[in-house]
This record gives sequence, C-alpha cells and structure tokens, in this order.
Amino acid sequence: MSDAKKVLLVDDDVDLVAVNRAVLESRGYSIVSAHSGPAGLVKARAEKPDVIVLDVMMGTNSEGFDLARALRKDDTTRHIPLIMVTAIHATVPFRYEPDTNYLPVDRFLEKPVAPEVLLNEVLAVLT
Amino acid sequence: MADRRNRILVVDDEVGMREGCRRILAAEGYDVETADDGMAALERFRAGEGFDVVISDLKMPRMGGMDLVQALHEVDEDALLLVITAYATIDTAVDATKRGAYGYIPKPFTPDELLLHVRNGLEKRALRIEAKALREERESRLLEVAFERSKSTTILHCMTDGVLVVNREGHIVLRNAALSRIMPSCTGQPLPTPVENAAELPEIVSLVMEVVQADAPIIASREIVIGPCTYMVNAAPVLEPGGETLGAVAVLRDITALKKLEIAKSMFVSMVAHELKSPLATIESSLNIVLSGIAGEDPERDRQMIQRALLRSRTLRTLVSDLLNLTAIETGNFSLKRQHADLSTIVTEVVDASAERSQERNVTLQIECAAPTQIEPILADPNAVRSIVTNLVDNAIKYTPEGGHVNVRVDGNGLYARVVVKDDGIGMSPAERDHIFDEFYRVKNDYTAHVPGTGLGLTLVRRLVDMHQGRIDVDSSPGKGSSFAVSFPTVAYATGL
Repeated sequence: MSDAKKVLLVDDDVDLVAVNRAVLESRGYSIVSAHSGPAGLVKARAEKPDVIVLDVMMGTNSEGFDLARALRKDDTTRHIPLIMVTAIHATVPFRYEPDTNYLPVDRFLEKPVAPEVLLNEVLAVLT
Repeated sequence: MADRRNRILVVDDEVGMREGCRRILAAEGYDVETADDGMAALERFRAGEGFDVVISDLKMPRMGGMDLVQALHEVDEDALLLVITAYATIDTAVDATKRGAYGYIPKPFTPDELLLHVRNGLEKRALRIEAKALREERESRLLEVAFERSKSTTILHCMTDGVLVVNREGHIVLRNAALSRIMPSCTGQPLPTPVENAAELPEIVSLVMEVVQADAPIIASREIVIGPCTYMVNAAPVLEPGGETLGAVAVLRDITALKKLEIAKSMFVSMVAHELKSPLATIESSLNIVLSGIAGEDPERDRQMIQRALLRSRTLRTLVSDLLNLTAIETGNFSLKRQHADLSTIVTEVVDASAERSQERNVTLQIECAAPTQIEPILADPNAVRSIVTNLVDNAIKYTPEGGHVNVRVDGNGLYARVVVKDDGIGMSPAERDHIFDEFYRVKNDYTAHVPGTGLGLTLVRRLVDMHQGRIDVDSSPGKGSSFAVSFPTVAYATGL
C-alpha cells in the first residue's frame, strides 16, 4: 500500500531491528533501518520517515542523544516524532524523561519493548 | 677514680726542689712525675698525659709558673695548679689565682704543708669534676627532650594526612603542614584561633564540635569534599588521664583516588549490566515474536530469529566467561601455569579447530610455520596461549568478508617466538585501533553491526600477553585488513640463559 506509514529503526543491534521490523511490517508499516547515528541521520533525510525509533547507546554512549539533537536541528527532519529506546534505565540512578531542550524526544521506552507497546507508541505519535 | 693513683706533676728548674717534692709525695702513694720548666710541663699535657695536680715554681727559664697557668687551662680546663714561690707576696698570690691557679705554697714549706695543699686541691678537683658531670648530664637530658619534641613536630609535619587539634572552646590549637595545604585559608591565622574562622568548611566544624561536646567519648567520621578532592575526616576526643575531654583531634585523609576507583568500578558494573541486558532484551524479543505469533506466521523468518537468538546466547556465555577470566586476572586469582611450550603446535591446533568456521564463512584460512629450529620453546601457559590465538583467529575470520583470506604465521628469533594473524578484511582506522584493547570497545560500522562480539576478547588477549611479558603489535588500515602479532619470550630468554 502506497500510503503506508514509514518507520526508521536506528539501532546497532541488527537482531532487534529484525524483530521490530517484523512486528511493524505485520501491521502494514514500511520499514527502513540504520545501524549507527550518522547512518540514521542520512537515512532520515533521504527517506523522510513518519516516525523514528532509536537506541540511546550505539558507538558512543550518547550516540542516540546526539542523533536526536541533530534531527531536531535539521529543517527536513525537525517535525518527525522520535521514540527513544534504551537498556540503560536500570543501570543509572535516575530516569530520563523527555525534555525539549536536553532530550528532544517524544517517547522514552525501556528495553525490551513488548511488541504491543511498540505498536501502541508508534500509533500514538502518528495520531 | 678511686682505683687510680692520683697523678701529680712537679715542675721546677731546681733539681733539689723537684726531687724533694717527688719523694714526699711518692711516699704518700701518689704517682709523681717531674718537669724542669713550664714548657716541658705543657708538652707533657699536650702529649695527652693527664695529671690531677700540677705543682709549679714561678720563676723558671723558657716558661714560668704564671704563663704555665694560662697555657695549661687552654689544654685542660680542669687542670689544678698549685704555685710554689719564694717571693710570697699577696700580689703574686692574687695574680696567680686570677690566672687560674688553685692556690700557692710559699717557700719554705714543710712536707705536711705540701701534702695538705695537695689533698685539698685533689678534693676540690674531684668536686669540680663531679659537678661538671652532673651539669653535662642535665644538659644532655634537656637536649634529648628538645630533640624528642622536635622529632614529634617533624613527624607531624611530614605526615601526608592533615591533622587538626581543637580545644574544648572550639579553638584550633594545632595544625600540621598537610592541613595548611588542604585548607590554605587556615594557614595565616595565629593559634589558637576559633575553628569557625579558620575552617571555611562548616562540615569540619560541626564534626569536631560534635566530638568535643559529646557527653561520652565518640569517634565521628565523614567524607568531606574540599575543592577537587575528597577527604575522609576522622575526629576523636583528646582525653585527659582522668577521662575528661580536653578537645578533639581530626585527621583528614585524601581519598580522591579511591573515590575515582569507586566511580570507575560502578561505571564498569553498569557497562557490564548494559552489555548483558541489551542482548538478553533482544533474545527475549525474538523468542516473544516467534511464540506469540504477533508478527504473523513466517516459518523461515521464525527459524532465522531463533537461530540468531541461539547465536546471541552463545556470545553472552562467552561474555560471561571472558568477564570471569578478566576479574580473576584483576583480583590476582588467575595464575599462569607456565611451562615449556611449543608455539607452532598450539597455533596449529587452534587453526585446525577454526577450519570449519572459516569454511562456513567462505574465508580461506592458512597456516605457515617457519623451520622448527627457528622457533624455540616458549615459557608460557598453553591454555592462555590457546585462548590468545583463538581470539585472534576468530576475530580475523569474523571481520573478513566472504572470499577473504586469513593467514597465520609462526616464526621466531631466539628471544621471542611469534604468531602473526593477518587478514584482508575490513581493517580499522588509527582512532579505532587505539581503543580495541579497552573493555567493551567494539568498532561500530555497518559491517560490524552484524558481527556478534563481547568487546572483551582483545582486552583479555592484552592482559594475558602482558602476564607473559610478551608483546602485541597491531597493524591495520580500513578496507585493507589487519595484522596482529603476538611475541612470547622463549625459555632461553625468559630464564636469562
């Protein structure tokens, strides 16, 4: 279907991308993916996805944050909703909450994200 | 002194007088020597001959009695001198005693008069020597006390820990050099000074006052941050022998390095947790998709997911065992069982065991060994060497795309035996190469994203090579491949033969 919503998955874990791709494709989303922050930025500009799901920790511990900030600075990607996923919640003594200045994302989810939760969150930011 | 006969020197230019005196005194049991003028007497003193009493005539050639008195006291300040004179006038007597003579005997004199003068003189001398010994002892005790005090002060000021003593009124009465370094604001203040004035730190004030004002003796400890440093401050009461609190002594120890270590450790733990949690989350998600059928039925995709989950589980298991090995090395619970080992044999075994994996990935794996005479036995733990070589060969296969080559070579130079694992794989940039031995570091790019790894393999390799006093050299360039060379000391070199 040509009006399928496009989701960009950015995560250095290829298996996790495969899982999320399977879940989202089964609901009719079209999926593009990248495995690093810089590659994610290139993909976001080229593919103009409707939503981006990104991991915090990639090559550097803050690559996801850096990507989020870069996307918000870029006119072509500024408006795209961001869902950030991380495994670090349990290992830091404080919780990250979306913050328009420091952490410009729309949703913050902890790994592992249940398939239903991912679907709901994606749907929520699209409507 | 009692066992020793008193020694007397009789100085006179008249032989009759000399001999007369000698006989009288010798008969009384004195040890008597004679000299015929002042100069001769002085020479005997200078030569180290000790005399308790000197009986000297006044008028003599070369040196008379008056000059002798003075000269003698320069050699021996306790020398006791009696002057014999025929010109017995008050003036002469006064003059002689002024110059240091003990007394004078006017000529002519009886043997008893002579003996009386000598006995009095000896008594006087004994008293003088005793008094001098007492004085010297007292002085040396004073010196000792002064030295002890300055020693304690020196030790106190040499301490690396800061020391601060406050009295019951909360005034600083003592501080050492280290404390002045820690709290420069405290340095200029004359003592005693209220602790509030000197210590800009309310925490230290409250800590010492807590101890000073406590009803029963307590010890208070707190970590206090001063500038960039963290101090462990321990405060204890200074107690009188009766048990009453006189004040408090606080010791400030710099624990900045320990705190940094603590932070590094907890960061490491959180890294480990992340490294464990991420793959577990992925495995969980993969299994969940397949079991729940939420993403629809696709038997081929499901099979692939389960296979990847299996692969990730294996990597996790390797991660855990690498971690255990690293921890064992760090805590010193890992010891090498070094023995004579043949590097070619171990490398050949590893390469044989890796053959299947290289075929699966369509990578050509070759081994090449220099002549056996060139590769001397190494002093190494064979299991550790196997682990090192396995890690290097595995990495070479993993980071070489299909159709590539991995070449393993063993050679040596007498001092070292060396294994070189060279591939024509993806290679690394110099910046990446600088970090490959760091814990959990992995080169991240679109190729490596698909390669499972723990980020601990090379860390472990580095530690094991170091434990062997070996060396590891890395040569790599992006797109051209990498080469890892590990050298182990030969038995001959390691044992200094």
